[in-house]
Amino acid sequence: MSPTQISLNHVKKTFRTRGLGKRKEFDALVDLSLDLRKGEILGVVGESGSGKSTLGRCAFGIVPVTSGKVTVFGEDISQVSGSALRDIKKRMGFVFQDPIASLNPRMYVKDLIAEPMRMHQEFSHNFYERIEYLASRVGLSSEQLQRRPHELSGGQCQRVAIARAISTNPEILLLDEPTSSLDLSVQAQILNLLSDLRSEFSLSYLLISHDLDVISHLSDRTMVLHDGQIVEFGDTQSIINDPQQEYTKTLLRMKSGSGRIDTLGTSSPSLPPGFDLDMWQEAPLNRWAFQNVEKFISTQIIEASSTPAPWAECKQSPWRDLEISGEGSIGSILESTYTDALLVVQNGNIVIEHYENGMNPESKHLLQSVSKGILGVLYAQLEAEGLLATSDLIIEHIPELAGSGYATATISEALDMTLALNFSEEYHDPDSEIQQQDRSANWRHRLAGDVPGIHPFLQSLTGSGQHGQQFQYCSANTDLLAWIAERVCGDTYATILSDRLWKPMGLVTDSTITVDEFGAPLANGGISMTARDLARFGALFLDEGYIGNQAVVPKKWIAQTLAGASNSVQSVEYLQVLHPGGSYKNQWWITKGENQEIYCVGIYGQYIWIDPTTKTIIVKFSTLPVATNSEHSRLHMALFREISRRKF
Amino acid sequence: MSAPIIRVSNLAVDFASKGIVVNTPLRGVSFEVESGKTLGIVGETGCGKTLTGLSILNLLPPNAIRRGEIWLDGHGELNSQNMADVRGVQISFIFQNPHSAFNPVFTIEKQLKIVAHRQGLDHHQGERIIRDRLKEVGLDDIDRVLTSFPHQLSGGMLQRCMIAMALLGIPKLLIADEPTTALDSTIARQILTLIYNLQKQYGFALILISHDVGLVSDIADNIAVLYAGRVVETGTTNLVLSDPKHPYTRGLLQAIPSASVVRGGLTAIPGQVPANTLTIVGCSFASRCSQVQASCANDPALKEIAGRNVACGVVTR
Amino acid sequence: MKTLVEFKRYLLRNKLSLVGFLLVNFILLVALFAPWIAPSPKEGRGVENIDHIGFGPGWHHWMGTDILGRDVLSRVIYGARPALLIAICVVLVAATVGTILGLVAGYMGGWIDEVIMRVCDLFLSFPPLLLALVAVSLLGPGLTHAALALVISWWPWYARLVRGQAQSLKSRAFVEVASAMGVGTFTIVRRHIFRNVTTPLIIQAAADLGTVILAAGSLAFIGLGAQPPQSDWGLMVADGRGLVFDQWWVATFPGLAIFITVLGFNLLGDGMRDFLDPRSQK
Repeated sequence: MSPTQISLNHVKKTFRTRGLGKRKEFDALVDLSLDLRKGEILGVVGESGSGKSTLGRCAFGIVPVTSGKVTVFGEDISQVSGSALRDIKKRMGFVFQDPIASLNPRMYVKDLIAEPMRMHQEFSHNFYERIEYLASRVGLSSEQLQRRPHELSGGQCQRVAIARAISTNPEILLLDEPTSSLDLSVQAQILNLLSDLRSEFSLSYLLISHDLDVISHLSDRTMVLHDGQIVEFGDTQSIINDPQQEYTKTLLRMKSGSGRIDTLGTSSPSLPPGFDLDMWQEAPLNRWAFQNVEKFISTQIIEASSTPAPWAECKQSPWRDLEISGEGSIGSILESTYTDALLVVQNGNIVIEHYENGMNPESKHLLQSVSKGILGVLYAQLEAEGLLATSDLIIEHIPELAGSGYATATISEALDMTLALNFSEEYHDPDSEIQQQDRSANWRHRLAGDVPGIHPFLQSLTGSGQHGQQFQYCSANTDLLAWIAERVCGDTYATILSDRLWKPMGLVTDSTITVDEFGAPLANGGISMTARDLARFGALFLDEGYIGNQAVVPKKWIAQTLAGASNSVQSVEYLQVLHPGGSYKNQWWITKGENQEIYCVGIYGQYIWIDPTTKTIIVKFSTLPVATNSEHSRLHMALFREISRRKF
Repeated sequence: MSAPIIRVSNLAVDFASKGIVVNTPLRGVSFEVESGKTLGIVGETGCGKTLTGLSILNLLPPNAIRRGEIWLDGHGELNSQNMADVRGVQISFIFQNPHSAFNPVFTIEKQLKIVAHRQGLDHHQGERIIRDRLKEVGLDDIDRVLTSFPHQLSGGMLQRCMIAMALLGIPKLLIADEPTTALDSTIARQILTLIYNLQKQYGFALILISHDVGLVSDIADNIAVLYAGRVVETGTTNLVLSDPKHPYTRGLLQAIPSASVVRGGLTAIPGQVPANTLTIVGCSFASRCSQVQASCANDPALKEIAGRNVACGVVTR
Repeated sequence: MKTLVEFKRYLLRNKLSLVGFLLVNFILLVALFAPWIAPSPKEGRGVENIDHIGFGPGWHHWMGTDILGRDVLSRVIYGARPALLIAICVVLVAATVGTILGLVAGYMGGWIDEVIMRVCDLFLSFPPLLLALVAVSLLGPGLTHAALALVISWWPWYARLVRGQAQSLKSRAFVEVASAMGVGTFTIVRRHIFRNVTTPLIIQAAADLGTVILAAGSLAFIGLGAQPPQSDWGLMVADGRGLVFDQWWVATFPGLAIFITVLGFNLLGDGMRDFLDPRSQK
C-alpha cells in the first residue's frame, strides 16, 4: 500500500454568491473523500459543473474547503502557513488547461520555468543548467527559452507549463484539463510526455478531465464526479469495462466515437462494418445481430432471480447422427436450418444441448415472436389475480384506443388473434403494417410519415370488420396487451416480467426486451434470453403450471390453453396445412396432432416446442436467411416430433 | 444512389495583403455530397476545414480571395449574384458557439422571425413553422424559449435553437462547424442524434466539420481528412477509419486515446502543422512522415487505393 | 514589449504618428536648448524692454514684441519649459499615485477596493478648476500649486484604469498558477499584474501629456497657474487677450505653440496606442 500523499475527508465546498441583495449558495462539492497515493495517476472525470476543477483546487490547497479535512503530505493544509506551507507548495506542480493563458505574456520562457525555483530558492548553484535540462526534457530547444509565450504554439506552451511544474522536483502534480485545448496529434505528444515523466520522476498526478478517453489512457484509478458527488471510484479498467452506475454507463455511451448514431442515439463500441438498421434481420447480418440486439436498439433489462434454482440435469448422449426419417441426420438438419442453439429437455434431463455461431449456455438470443408466448403466460397470472378479465373491452384499460380499430375489441380476442384489423404481416413488404411497426419501434430506420413510437402506432391501426370471427395473426395485438399489462400493474413490462415470472421461476440470466424511444416494449418479438431460461417456460406446461413447488400459473389456464381455440376460428389455410385441426390460443400454437403439442414460433427460426405426452421441451434458435418458409416450417416440425418421440 | 446536391471543385482560399498573396490556407479541395448523406471533414487546427465551410457560403474576411467552383443543385455555379439567394435559404450554417449566432439584445422569437421572413414566409406561416421546428429540436417549454434572451438559455438549448433557425426553411445543405465542441458529452450526443434524425426526416445533405474524429465516425457516411489545406484521404467512413492508408490519417488515428481500445503508448506524429502553406514544396506532410522518400518532392495527387482516394506518392495498397 | 526597432519601422509607415513624434522631439529640444536658441534670452526669462513695445512681426522680432517689449519668439521658446515640465511632472506623479492605488484596489478587492474607488469618485466629482481655486486660495498662486491641483484631479483616472486592468488580470490563469505556487502577493502584483498593465498605462500617459498642457494653459489663463514675469504660454495668451485686434501677435503665437505641442502629443499618443495595442499584433 503506497503512502498517501493527499487525502480528502468528507470535504464539502460551498460557494456563496452575492446577488443584488439575495445571497445564493452553491454546493460545488458535497461530502467527498479520496486519497492520492504515491506514484499513481488518479483521474477525475465529469462534465462541466460536476465540481472536478473545484476538487483539484481544494485538494492542492489553492481554495479552502467549507468543511472536512484536506491532508497533504500528512499535514492539514488549512492549519499550515508561512514557511511550512511554502515547503509543501515546493513539492507541488500545476498544469492548467489553456497553455497560453497560464503563462505571463510579458515573461520570457526561461523566467517562466524558473519562477518556482527562484521563489523557493532551489537549485541556485546550477540554476541555468537546470533550466536547460528541464527545457530539453520536455522537448523545448534552448532557443525557445529566449522567447515569449505568444511566439510559441499551444503544444509548446504546455511544455513550458510542464517544465515549470516539475522545476522544483515536486512529488505531486495537479493537471486540470492539460490537453483539452490542444490538437489531437499534439495531445498525444503531451500525454506521452506526462506518462514518461511520471515514471521517470515517480510523480503522482491528480488528472482532471471531461474526456474519458484521456482519463482512461493515463489513470490508474478513476473517480467519476457528478454534481459534486462521487458516482464511482476505483480501478480505471474495471470502471471502463464494467461500469456499475447508470451515470458512468451514460458517459461511456455518450462519448464521441462510441458508435454509430441511429434514430435513438444508442451506440455500441463495435457494430460490424456495413451494419444497417434496415438489414439486420436479414442474412448475413442477422447471424451477429440476433445475439447483440442491445447494441443497436434500446433495451430494458428483465432481471433474473438472485437465487436461481437449477432444474435440469445434463444427460447427453451422442445425438448428432440420429436419423430423422426422410430428412437426414439431426446434425445435417441443424446445419441446413442455420441453427444457433438447440436444447432438448426430456423428463427433466437435458438430453441435447448444442450451440453454434458463438453461442454458449449464457448467451442471449432474440426470440422474435416466441416473445408472444411469454406474454400469454403473464396474462394467466393477471387474470388469476383479478387485475383484468379476458372478457374486458380493451378500451376499458386503454381509452386512448377508442378511435382505432381496437375500439370494440376484447382482451381475449387479442390473446387469441381473432381481431379483424387492417394489418399485413408480410415481413418483406416495406408497405406492410408489420414493417411500419418495426419502424415505429426503431427496429428499422424511420421514414418520413412514420408514426413515432409503438403506442401511437397502435392508435393508428384501423379495423377491417367484425372481431372474434376469424383468426388473423397480427403481431400488434401482443404489444397492445403489454400496454394493458403496464397499465394494470403500474410498472414497466420488463419489471412486471421480472417480478412475476423471471424471479419466481428461478431464471438464471438477466434477459432484455427492446423498447422504443418512449420506453414502450416491443412485446411481440423483442425479448432476448438464454435457451435454458426459455426452456423453463416449457416446464410450466408439463407440470400444470408449477415450477418445482411454486405455482406460477393456474392449472386451469394450462388446461384451457392446451385445449386450443374453438373450431370456428380455425379456418386459416396455412395453419391447416401445417397442423390440421390446430389452433391458436392465449398466444400459443396448439397442433391437435397425435400428442397435442403446443409451441411458439418466431421468424427466422425461433422455437419453443413442448410435447406434454413425452414430457419433452425443445428450444431452437436460428438465423435463417428468410423470415418464413413453408419448407423450413415442415422440416422443423418433423425434427421436433421425431426428437420428442425418441427415448433418450 | 442519388445525384449530388453540391459539388465543390478545387476550392481554394488565398489571403492577400496589398495585392500580394501571403498565405493559401486552403489549397484546392474537391468533394461532392448527395442529399440525405453526411460528409465529415476532419483535421487539426490550421488544416483549412473551417475555411472550407465558410468559403462555400463566401463568408470570408475582406482580404481573402476564393478560387474554385461550387455547384449547387438547382442553382448551377454559385457566384456573387446568386449567392445572396442561396445563403441561409438553400445552404444553412451551424456555428460552434451558439452564443455567437444570436444577437444578445433580441429575444429568440424576434431573431427567428427575422430568419423566417428572409425565407419568404408570411407572418402566420412563420409562426407555425417556428413552433414546429422548436418542437422538433426537442425543446419543451416553447413559449419560455421564444421570450427568452440568448443568455437566459443553456448552451445545449441555444444550440437547439440555432439548429431550428438553420432549418426553418428546409435547406438543401446544412454545414455544421464543430456543432458540439462547446457542449458536454451527453448533451453533445443528444444534439448529434437530433441532427441525424432531422436529416433522416428532411433529407438534406450534411457537411460536418470537426477536429473530433470519433464524432465524425458516429454520423458521417463519407469522410475527408484535411491536412495543410488539401484533402489527403477521402472515402467511406468505415473504410477510411478502419483501414487508413495515408500516413497522416494513420498517425492521427494512432494518436487518439480511447477508452474502448487499450493501448500501450500513443504514437505521436512528430513535428507541427506548417504555419504557412506558401513555403511548402512537394508533399505537405513529408517533413513529418515516417515513410518519406525522394519522390515526395513532387506534390502527390489524389489517386484511388483500396476503394478510397489517397494523396500519397508512396502508399500503393 | 516590442522593440525600438519595431517602433521606428512603425513610425516610418504611419506618417501621422511620425509627425507627432517629430513635433514632440522638436518641442523637447526647444525646451532643453532654450537659452541657446532664443534671440533674447533675458527677455525670454521675463525681463522687460520698454523701448521695444508694440513691434509687430518683422526682421528683428520674428514674432513681434509683447506689451512690455519683450521678444515674443524668445518668450515662446522659453515657454516650452514650464509647459513640458508641468506636463511631465503632473502625469508622472498622478500616474504613480493612481497606479499604486489602482493595483491595490484591483488586486485586493473587497472593502479596500470599495474605499479607494469611492475616494476616486470623490475627487472625480470636483471640477479641476474648482480644485485649483481651492489650492490657490489655500496655498497661494504659482506653477507648483497649479501642478498640485492638476495632480489631485488627474490621479483618479489612472487609478480607475489600473484597477480595471488589475481586476481582469487577477482571474487570468497565469496569476492563478503563481498564487497556487505560493508566490507572495507583492511579487504577484509586481511581476504578473503590473507588468501587464504598463501598456495601457503608457498609452494613457502619452495622450495625457497634451491634455495636461492644455489644462495648465487654461489655469494660467485665468491667473491660477504660472505668475508673471514667467514665460508661460497660457499667461502670454491672457496678456494678449485685450490686444487681439491690434497686436494680434501677442496672443496668437503662444496659442499656436500650445496647439502644436498638444497636437504633437496627441498624434504620438494615438500612434503609440495603435502600435502597442495587442489587437494590432495579429
